[in-house]
Amino acid sequence: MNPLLSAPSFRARAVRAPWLSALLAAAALTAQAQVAMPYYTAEQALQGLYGRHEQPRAQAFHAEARLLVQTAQAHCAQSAPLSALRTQWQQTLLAWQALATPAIGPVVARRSQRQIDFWPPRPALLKKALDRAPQSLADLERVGSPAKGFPALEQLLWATPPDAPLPAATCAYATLVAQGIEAEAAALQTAFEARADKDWSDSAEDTGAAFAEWINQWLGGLERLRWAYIEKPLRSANGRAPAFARSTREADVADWQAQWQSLRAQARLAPGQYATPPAPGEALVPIEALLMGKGQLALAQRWAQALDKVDAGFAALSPQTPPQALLALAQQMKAVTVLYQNEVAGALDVPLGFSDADGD
Amino acid sequence: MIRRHSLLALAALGAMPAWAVRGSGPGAAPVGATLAAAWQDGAQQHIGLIDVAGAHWSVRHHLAVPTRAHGLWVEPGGSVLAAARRPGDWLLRWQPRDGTVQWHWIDDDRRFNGHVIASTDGTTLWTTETDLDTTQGRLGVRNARSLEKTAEWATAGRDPHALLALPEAVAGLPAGTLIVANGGIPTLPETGRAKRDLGRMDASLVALDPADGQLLGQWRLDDPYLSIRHLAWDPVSRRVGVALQAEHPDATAKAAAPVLAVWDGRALRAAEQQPVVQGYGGDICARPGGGFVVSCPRADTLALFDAQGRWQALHPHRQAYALAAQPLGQRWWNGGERDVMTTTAPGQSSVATPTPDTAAGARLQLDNHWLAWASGRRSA
Repeated sequence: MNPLLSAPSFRARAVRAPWLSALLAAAALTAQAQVAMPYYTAEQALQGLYGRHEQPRAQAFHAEARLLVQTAQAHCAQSAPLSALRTQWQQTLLAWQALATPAIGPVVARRSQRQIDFWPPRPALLKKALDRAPQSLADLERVGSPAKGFPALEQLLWATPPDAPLPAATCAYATLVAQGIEAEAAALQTAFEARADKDWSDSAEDTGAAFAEWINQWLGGLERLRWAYIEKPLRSANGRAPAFARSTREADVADWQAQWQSLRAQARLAPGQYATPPAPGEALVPIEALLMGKGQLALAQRWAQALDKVDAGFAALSPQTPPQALLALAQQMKAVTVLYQNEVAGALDVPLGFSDADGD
Repeated sequence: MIRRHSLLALAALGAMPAWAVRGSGPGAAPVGATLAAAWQDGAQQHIGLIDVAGAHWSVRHHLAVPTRAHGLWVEPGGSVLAAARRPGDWLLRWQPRDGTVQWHWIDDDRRFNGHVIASTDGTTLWTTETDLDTTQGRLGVRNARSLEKTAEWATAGRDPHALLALPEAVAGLPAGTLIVANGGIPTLPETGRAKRDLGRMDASLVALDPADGQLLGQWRLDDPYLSIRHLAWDPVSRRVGVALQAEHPDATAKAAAPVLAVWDGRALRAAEQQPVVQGYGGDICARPGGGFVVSCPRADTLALFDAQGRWQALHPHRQAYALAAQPLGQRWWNGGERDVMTTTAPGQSSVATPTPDTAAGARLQLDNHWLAWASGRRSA
């Protein structure tokens, strides 16, 4: 670490002079890049990813899902307001996005997104499900994906004014949908724990496939966020209000930020990790560290800079962010996609199946 | 790795204005054309018109599109239909003469698979699609004016890709019968284009009744790892050529796999006596006089077959991709990494390179397919 950066006088002056701040940041990056980053094997990357990163997120999602069920039951018993249920729905959604972005391992194998986050909900199917009044999770399995999971529950919770209780039948169905989310969260936690305990040195084939899935799905998660969540609703609005995924713009922004933060965590080193690199097999190894460990220092630096531009854009988001700024952010994300497709994935020796570059 | 592809198709030359196709007579050089194409330029995707004139080609008009385009269709008035590459969510109509654009966005539980064609009377469009909930193939039936879906039929398979309407009756199937290539590759919405569990591949060629989507026939190849993807009608032999893409887990088997199958209305048979061309057919067109050409970009060559699917010759062309033939004529065109090859007779080809202005710009990567602009009635 450059000792100048810890000098109080320099830090104080940097706050007053943006140009000096930028200069110091550049110097810091140079100094950081000079710290040797270990070479990480695919086994170590997967141990860190599943053992240290995904497992706690699966636990957190399950905990939030349990609270969602409890809050729904409390609301139906008239001991919790609808606003509390809405808040818990959002907390659970954010925990889900933190786990499922990008979608890897058990999330893909179980088709969890289809099970609990199929978009868009279909109002006609939802009404049909309400009319059928399923009583158990077994009954719920016979309900189509567009009438259950987070999007369907969101429709139910926002169809009623926040100071009014849900009608009894709606409340019962909402509770059952919450139980369905909780059941999937429990299964995911179990599956992610098994992945966390897996010895990735057992099978080179399994390890290669899991590593390639992660690298591919990171791009898939980025493109899903950029295109499906942000850019497509804007471009297809055709003079109407953009059809973003969530009921309120506040919820959309929180959703987007949760997805981005999860992607960033898997892509970008934290500042302190330049001095103390992730311990092999003991910590999440972001893509930037993989590049540096392979000696791709210049590419790693460009990768970090591209990510930081997007990061700044997400940090500045608010419910009032105008469409032009959202499109500009999407453009910055697209630049990350292009860099990833053209250079990063190749440097990691992973062919991309989710790419603009292949034939059809 | 960036793969550079291009595609061109030329249709209904007899109805084309003079500016659309230039040059005359077998072996005449230079031979020109105006082609509707799709391409990538840096991070930006486009569709547009490309002029091939003499020794050079250049971009005449273009439209930026939000994601990669794939299949195109030129309508009689010169407007161009383009469908997003799978898993795609847009379909558009672009009129190059005045720049007007009509967008259509697919419902969120469906995705376009990249190909669109129109009925002979121009009132109906058909699009290959995937149901995201079930991952099964669907054929979207659309009002040509509004682009809105009016019906939807099962394709009796997964991963439907290219399609064509038979221009004449074949083996008891009436003219107009829809022939659809079910690629058969399992994918999931969660993993985009990633191929999953290829041991479950189930590719097939199906014939559907254009009135109601009834399944009139279904044909499979013996080798389950051959994905059935692109189609071409040979008016001489009255057969359909099918470009194949191999998905074998064994690299040697994949490289040696046939890239062509031929359907005569009764049977679907893979090509015979074909040399190793890396098992990937990028595009296909009929050869003047009968037979088929398949582009093989991974082998940097064109593979020529007779109408029975017997291999005839290889024709080297770097990054050979898009193909188009002059219906009942003598020419066919192929887009490569940087150039356009025009073949006027066996062994007689000319090559157009980008104009200096085009070459000076960002590297333009042509997509799989292209079509003659104006009076075209073909999908690529």
